[in-house]
Amino acid sequence: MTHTSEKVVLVIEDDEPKQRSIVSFLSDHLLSGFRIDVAQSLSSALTSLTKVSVTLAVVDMSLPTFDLTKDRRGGGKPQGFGGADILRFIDSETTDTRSVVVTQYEEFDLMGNGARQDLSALETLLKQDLDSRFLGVIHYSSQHGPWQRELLAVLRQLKLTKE
Amino acid sequence: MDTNTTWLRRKFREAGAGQSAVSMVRALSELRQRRPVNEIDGCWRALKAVAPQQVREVFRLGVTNPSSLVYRFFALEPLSLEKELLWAKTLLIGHSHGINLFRDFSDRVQKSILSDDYANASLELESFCRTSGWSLWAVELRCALEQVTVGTVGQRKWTANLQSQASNTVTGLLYEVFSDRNDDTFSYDAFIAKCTNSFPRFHFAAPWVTPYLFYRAMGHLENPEVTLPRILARDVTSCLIDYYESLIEALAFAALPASPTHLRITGNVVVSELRRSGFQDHRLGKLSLAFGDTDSEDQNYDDVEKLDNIFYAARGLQPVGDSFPNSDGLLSKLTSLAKACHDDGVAAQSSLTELMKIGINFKSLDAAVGTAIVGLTLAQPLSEPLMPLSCSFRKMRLQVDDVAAISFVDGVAALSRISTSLNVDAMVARELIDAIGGKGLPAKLESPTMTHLWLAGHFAQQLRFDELNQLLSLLENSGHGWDRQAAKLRIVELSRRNEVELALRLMEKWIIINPVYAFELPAKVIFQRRRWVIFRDLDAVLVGTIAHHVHVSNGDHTIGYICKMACRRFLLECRGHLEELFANATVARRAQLISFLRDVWVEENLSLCEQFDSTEKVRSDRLAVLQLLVTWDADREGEYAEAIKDLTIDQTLQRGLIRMDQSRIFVNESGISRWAEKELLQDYERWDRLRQSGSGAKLIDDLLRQYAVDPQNDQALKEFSSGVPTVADALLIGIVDRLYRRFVQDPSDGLDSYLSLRIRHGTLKGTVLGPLEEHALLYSASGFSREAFDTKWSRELDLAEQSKSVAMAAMSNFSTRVLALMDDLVSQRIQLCTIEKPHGVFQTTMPAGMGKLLASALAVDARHSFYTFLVTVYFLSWKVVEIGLNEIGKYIKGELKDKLQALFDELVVTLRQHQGALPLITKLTSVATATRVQCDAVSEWFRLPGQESDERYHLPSAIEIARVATCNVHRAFPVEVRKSSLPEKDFRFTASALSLLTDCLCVIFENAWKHSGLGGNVGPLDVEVTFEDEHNVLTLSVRSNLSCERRSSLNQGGGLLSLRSKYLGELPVHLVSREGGSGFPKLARYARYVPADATGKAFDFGIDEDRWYTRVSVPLYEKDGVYDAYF
Repeated sequence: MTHTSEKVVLVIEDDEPKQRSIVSFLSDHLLSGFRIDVAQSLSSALTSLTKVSVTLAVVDMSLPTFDLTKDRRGGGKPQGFGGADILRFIDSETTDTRSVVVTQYEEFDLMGNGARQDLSALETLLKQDLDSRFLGVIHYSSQHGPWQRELLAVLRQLKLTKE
Repeated sequence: MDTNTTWLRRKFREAGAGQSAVSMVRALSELRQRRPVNEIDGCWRALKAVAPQQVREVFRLGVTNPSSLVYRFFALEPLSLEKELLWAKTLLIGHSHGINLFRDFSDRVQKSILSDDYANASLELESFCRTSGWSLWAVELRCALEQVTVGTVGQRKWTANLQSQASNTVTGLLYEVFSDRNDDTFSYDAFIAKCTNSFPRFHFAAPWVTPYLFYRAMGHLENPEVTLPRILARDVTSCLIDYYESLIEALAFAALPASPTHLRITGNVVVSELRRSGFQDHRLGKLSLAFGDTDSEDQNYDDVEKLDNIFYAARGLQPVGDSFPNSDGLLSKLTSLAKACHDDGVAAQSSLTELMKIGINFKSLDAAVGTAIVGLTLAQPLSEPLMPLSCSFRKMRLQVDDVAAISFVDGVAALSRISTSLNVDAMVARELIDAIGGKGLPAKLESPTMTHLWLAGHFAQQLRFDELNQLLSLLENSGHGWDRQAAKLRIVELSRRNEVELALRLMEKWIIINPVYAFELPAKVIFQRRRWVIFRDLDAVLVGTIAHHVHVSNGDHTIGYICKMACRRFLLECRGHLEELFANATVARRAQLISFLRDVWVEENLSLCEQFDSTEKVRSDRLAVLQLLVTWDADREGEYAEAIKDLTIDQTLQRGLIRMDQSRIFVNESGISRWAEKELLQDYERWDRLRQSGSGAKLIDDLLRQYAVDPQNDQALKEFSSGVPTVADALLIGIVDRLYRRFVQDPSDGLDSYLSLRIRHGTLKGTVLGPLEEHALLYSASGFSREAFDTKWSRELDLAEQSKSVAMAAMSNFSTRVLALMDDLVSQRIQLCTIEKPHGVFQTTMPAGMGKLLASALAVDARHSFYTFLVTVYFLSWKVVEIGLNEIGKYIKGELKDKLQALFDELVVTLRQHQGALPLITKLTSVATATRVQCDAVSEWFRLPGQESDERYHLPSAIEIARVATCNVHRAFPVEVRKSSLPEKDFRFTASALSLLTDCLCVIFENAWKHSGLGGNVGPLDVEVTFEDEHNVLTLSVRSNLSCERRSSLNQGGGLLSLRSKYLGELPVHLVSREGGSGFPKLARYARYVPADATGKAFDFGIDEDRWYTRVSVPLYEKDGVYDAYF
């Protein structure tokens, strides 16, 4: 891993309006000295995570395998649980990176059998699977929804806010 | 007579029990609900005294007419299982003579059957039913006997007669189910799938119907404590033979070590009293044992050897085939199937399902060892009981094996009893007792049993690892599947002791033999509570292989991650010098590498290898690996060549595509087809045969229609059959329905999964509301973000405080209504139409009109292959989906857009009343326009995939792809193609046609090379293509050079003659395999639908003018100027 002196928050999100919204929110609230990187797929997220020391990763659950700009196949097979693989990667391959999920889904097929479960079940499942650097699941409803308060709380917990 | 008895008699008299059988049943049903357990005997005595004639009429061994079974009288109201067991004991005790006659007959008829004397068995059954009456037990046996003696047609005829007398009743339905179960065109899996799919539909008929059907059809009991009382309460008024058999099932459930104590106690009481009352049934002895009553005496039974031999053979103790006079007979068959299952476990898939089919059809008899053997084969270590009690039931004598069906404490006592008896297993029992007592194990297991495995489980639980190790080693050296059984426990033990690598290595040994062992061996335990870090430093090939197969078997994402990370490590450390690695590897290591590269190194597992940053790159690497595998693993060359060809087509097509398909509507038809091949192909073939037979044209009644077809598809069935549905029609509609459901609902490949990922997942909402959100004009549904509004607008607006409040309230109201509209769109409309989502626009079952469409589509060409059938149903499914797409697209473009505009307008009107709001009004006006544009854009998402793309291909593309694919497979073959003659017509082909033509050309090119005798110097291949436009037949001919030596060997050595006779002979086309070394069987299949008068020979090859030639014709189907072709 290449470590730079610059501190990085990585937003892993393929949906552009949501991505812009999260980046804009982070720009407004993050301490100065932080750089916000964006990854739009599983592949580019891993590239960032292996090259840069990331302080916080804001992870979407559903991601394409590859960046749409590089892949003529629409990003490869959609990874309904691609975000979970990224969280596990952070868990096993990094030492200091914290992670939080920001998802637009309200329910997930956790077992792959069509049975839907809600976000709290997802959070419980992920917490069982990951260490304490995983900070939870936030529901994103729209640009100015309550997710901002919850993400702000995460930033405060990590002492990454301007205040 | 005591007061209580007098009171009970009075109650029965008052209820009119003595007046008629019906009133007696009603009185009994009511009274037994209210009386406590200690009054059961008194109640029964009182009833017999008050209504002796009625009791005799109702509670009979069997009935005269099988159509009256199940419904002869109404059922009793079910009680708790404990009470039902006690009632059954009381009620049956007086019938010991009759039940003993029945059991005696059962043994007798079984002897005839195991001696393959079916005619005598049928006569005996007929005679028994004449004297004792019919039961479902007898009907099931008769069906099975009809099937083996006169075949499916005769069996169907016999059951059809019964059905006609029990039309529109559950009894009639059961007879149809028994008939299906025996039908040799139904595989075991297909039958189970049909039952599982259809029985829940009867839930609304009455609560007992669905569990009763599952129990009778499949022997399956869901929630036995609830369903068994319902079954007993129904069978008691039907016939006592069925009642008694159900009681045995209920007692077997009560005897499970995990059953509630009160049930075990009651079960033991019932069994003891039945035995004391003279019931002669070896199963009662086994039950006694399971209840812990080890003092009970073993009863004597004659001629038990035949049955027991099946189990001895399965254990590897009896040579198969030596002891049976008729090697084609049932006993011989059962024994060899049992042995195959025991030896090979899940890898003996066909034997397992065949055994299950025989077992379920002959389930009336003890010889129905299907379920038992399968249970024994797939037994999991450390489970209690290790072996199902049903397995123990199938053997008359008490054997050491039976101990594995009971708890450890009871088992030790049972072993003790066996060890001191004259039982043939006495010595083994003594050895086991010594081992339990710590006195050591023998040097060799002369007679391994399930109880040795049971003991190994005990050692493991007691942490007696040295003894465990010794016992497992003995089992591993015993062969005949015992090594596999021992491996199960070893894997668990190694995992417990954190010997992860050893556990993986052991698992790998079995995976390399057959990956299907991932489904049988408990490999999951290796990964339980272990993260990737534990596996990181182990051999990536090993970890990846095991994790992959275990992930496939159970779908656990965390294990999938370990597999992906192992692949990532392999990429970083090994992939770059793979050829060198392989060259220097031992034979064993090569086998590991091949297994890993073949099964694990696939696109799905490489998503954490960021070095592959596009689909094209990951597929290129797969292609390169497949090319290596072709040379490293010659036995599977054909399989790799097929994969290479598919990837080549895929890559070439992608390079040709100008742009990515923008459609978000998608269904992975290949994935659905893979499922269909596994789940529907047999049903389809059965339909194909049925529609051509007389029985397929039989009309069906309402209840049977529900069994075959979902009631929601009744309309489609009527349309399809023009109102006169037959058995074949119902079967077809059932197949189409299952396929359509999969098409829309498959959790990973179906329409709904892509709707969720590509549309519902925030993208649509974000796109439509983007302009509003960007300008902070929208408040979230769950929180009024006044700060965001203020930040953006407070400086621009010049509103008085009061106006500001009104404006804010109006904005809030606007936001809420806009968001509600979007929520309605996403959560209610762009959904599958279900009870929870009634406004969903996509139908989950076949809608009205589908039947008509299907009828006309199938009428175009009656000679459908399964694949053309799939394509037809996909086409129709898209037509159905298109209705929903149009509806939703139209809604967004029209109604939604207008509703949003109306909300904007209303807001603007409100704001206009306040001075200083002008900047906001101006912004709202422009945002309204932008939102309308977004709506238009989004409405375009809802169109069929591929419509706007350039997915039309031309003949030269097919030739070029075939050339590249052949080069990719055979790198020593420099394929040079000369297009000597192509039709003038510029064909446009669908992807399916392109794929088929490419496939044909690949086979032809490969054969040209292989037959040439010239190696790389074969020279150009001359391709000629002609088209016969009357029947739309395209003919591909290729000529190539041939060496003199090869020409002479083909001509003079008889090689060509033999090849031509093999592939151009009289072999029925449905028997022509699609696979084969030369690929010619495949060409023969493609050519089989070419009309005889369209061309000369549709498929031909040989030598002409000293050159090798191959010619194949395939029918094309034109749709709107585009040609399609089907596999």
